[in-house]
Amino acid sequence: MTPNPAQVGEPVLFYLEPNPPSGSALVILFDYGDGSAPEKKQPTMDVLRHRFLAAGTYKVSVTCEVRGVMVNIQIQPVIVNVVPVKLVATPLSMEVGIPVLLKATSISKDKALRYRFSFGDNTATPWQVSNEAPPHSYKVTGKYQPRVDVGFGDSPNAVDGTDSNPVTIVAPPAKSLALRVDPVHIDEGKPVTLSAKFPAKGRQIQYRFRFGDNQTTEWQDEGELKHSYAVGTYRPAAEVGVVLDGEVYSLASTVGHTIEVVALQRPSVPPAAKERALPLPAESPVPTPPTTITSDSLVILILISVGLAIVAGVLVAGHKLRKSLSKPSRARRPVPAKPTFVAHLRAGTASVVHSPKKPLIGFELYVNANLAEGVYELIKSEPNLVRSERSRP
Amino acid sequence: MNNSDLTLRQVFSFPAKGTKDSSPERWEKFQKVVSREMKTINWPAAMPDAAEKICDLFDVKLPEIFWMAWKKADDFTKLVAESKQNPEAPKYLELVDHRIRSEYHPYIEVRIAGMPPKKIKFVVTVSFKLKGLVLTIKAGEIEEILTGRCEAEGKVEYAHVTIAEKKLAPISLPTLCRFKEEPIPIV
Repeated sequence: MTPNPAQVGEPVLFYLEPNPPSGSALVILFDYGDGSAPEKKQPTMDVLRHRFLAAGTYKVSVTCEVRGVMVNIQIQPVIVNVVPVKLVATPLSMEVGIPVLLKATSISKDKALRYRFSFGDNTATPWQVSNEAPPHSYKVTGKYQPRVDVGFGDSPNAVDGTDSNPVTIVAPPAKSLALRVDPVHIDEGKPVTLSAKFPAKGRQIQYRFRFGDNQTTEWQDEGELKHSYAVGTYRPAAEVGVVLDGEVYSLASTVGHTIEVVALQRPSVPPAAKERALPLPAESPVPTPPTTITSDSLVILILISVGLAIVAGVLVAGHKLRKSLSKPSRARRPVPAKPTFVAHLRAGTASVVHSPKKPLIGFELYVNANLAEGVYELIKSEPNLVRSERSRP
Repeated sequence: MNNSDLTLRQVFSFPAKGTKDSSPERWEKFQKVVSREMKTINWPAAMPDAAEKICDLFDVKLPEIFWMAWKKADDFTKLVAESKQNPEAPKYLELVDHRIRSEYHPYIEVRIAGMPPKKIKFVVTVSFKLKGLVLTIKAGEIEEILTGRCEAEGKVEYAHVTIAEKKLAPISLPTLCRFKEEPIPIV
């Protein structure tokens, strides 16, 4: 017989080598001593396999009929031990909604071994072959006791099990993801730096950015990057996730300051004064003006000169237009200028934003959704709008 | 476009920001009417830019319109106010099937140097049929709409000229509409 001791569920082999006296009709009856039905065997060379499904010491007996006499033989007791299995939960502390991983390890190599994981929140997996539970998220804060049961075969009963260390589920951190946008007013084509910060607390975290211009990044390790925009107004956002077993699970997200990108104009003021940037971090030195005239500087000088000439011409034209409007004349028509649009829309409010730095050239348009002054009607067939209400403990 | 930003722009099929209008003819009648009122502006030249900015008027998120109507239900406002008492605990509210009708008047204000400003006012009427909505509220604010189904219809007019119209049809609400643009805890 082997092995002895054996483990729960492990097949124990009994080698049968009968040597009956001549003239005997031998019938061998095996009783394993665990309550299972005895096995009848013919007196030939054979190997019997039996699984003991509970730990203990079993008295196996063999009953033979020799020349009409029943002879009962006790063989060496079989010692059956529990299946040593260990269960590890990773991590032991996690926010609500983020998965915890359970992994069971056992020295048993039996292919019939099955696992069933209980998460301690009244949920459990079915019996499965894999020793790893599918990622499980807890919905409510608290302390939970995961457990694994082991069994054998396709329709197993639990023969053994063990608990992991308790898992603590905490509320997600509030407002701990910060997104810095620098600068918030910028010329078209120049890069804006987005910086996201989140306390890692020893975990592997990644970031994902949404620039507000229909472009997004993939999950990445870097929490800072640069992005250039076309003319317009944008609201960037960032998201942080924790990496578990090769997957990224979102922890929090936030929206950054609105970015206003203006067309590259022939500046009448130095460019540095146009950008209302947030204070630069210590590692980003403030750029100093060039000390030599480069081709870029020459282009800027030319543009400034042309711009000043245009501004002067427009001011003169505007003065003449005002004069002609105050004294209407059939011989004169005001020259319509190309509109310049400055619009910042915030739905639900009456707020309108106008950039104070743009001169009033031609005409300007201001948009207002005016939602607050609308009329809204709620039509329902029941007295109350809320059918049911449920609170989370 | 982020799936969580369903606005009236999509309901009325206005072009997305920066894209060409597939129905530029809708602005022709508007242009004729507004030209009569604003004679000092060359509207035919200005119309492409003006049309784009008019479409910005409709970047109104649908949940904001819903909220304006839901405020009228006393039981709803009472539960939202109660949630302020226990700001850490979210509440789930299941709403009955209902309908929201709204009419509001967005406008564009034209400012010309030396002249009094003039408003170009639109009339927007929009109606929604909502079924099976479940909201998450927390600390007196609606955090999420775990949505059911929605049908919408509406019209945008200026001086009795129809600029856009939507016949009653289902619209796909995103699975998750977030109100708060704050760090959002995952539940």
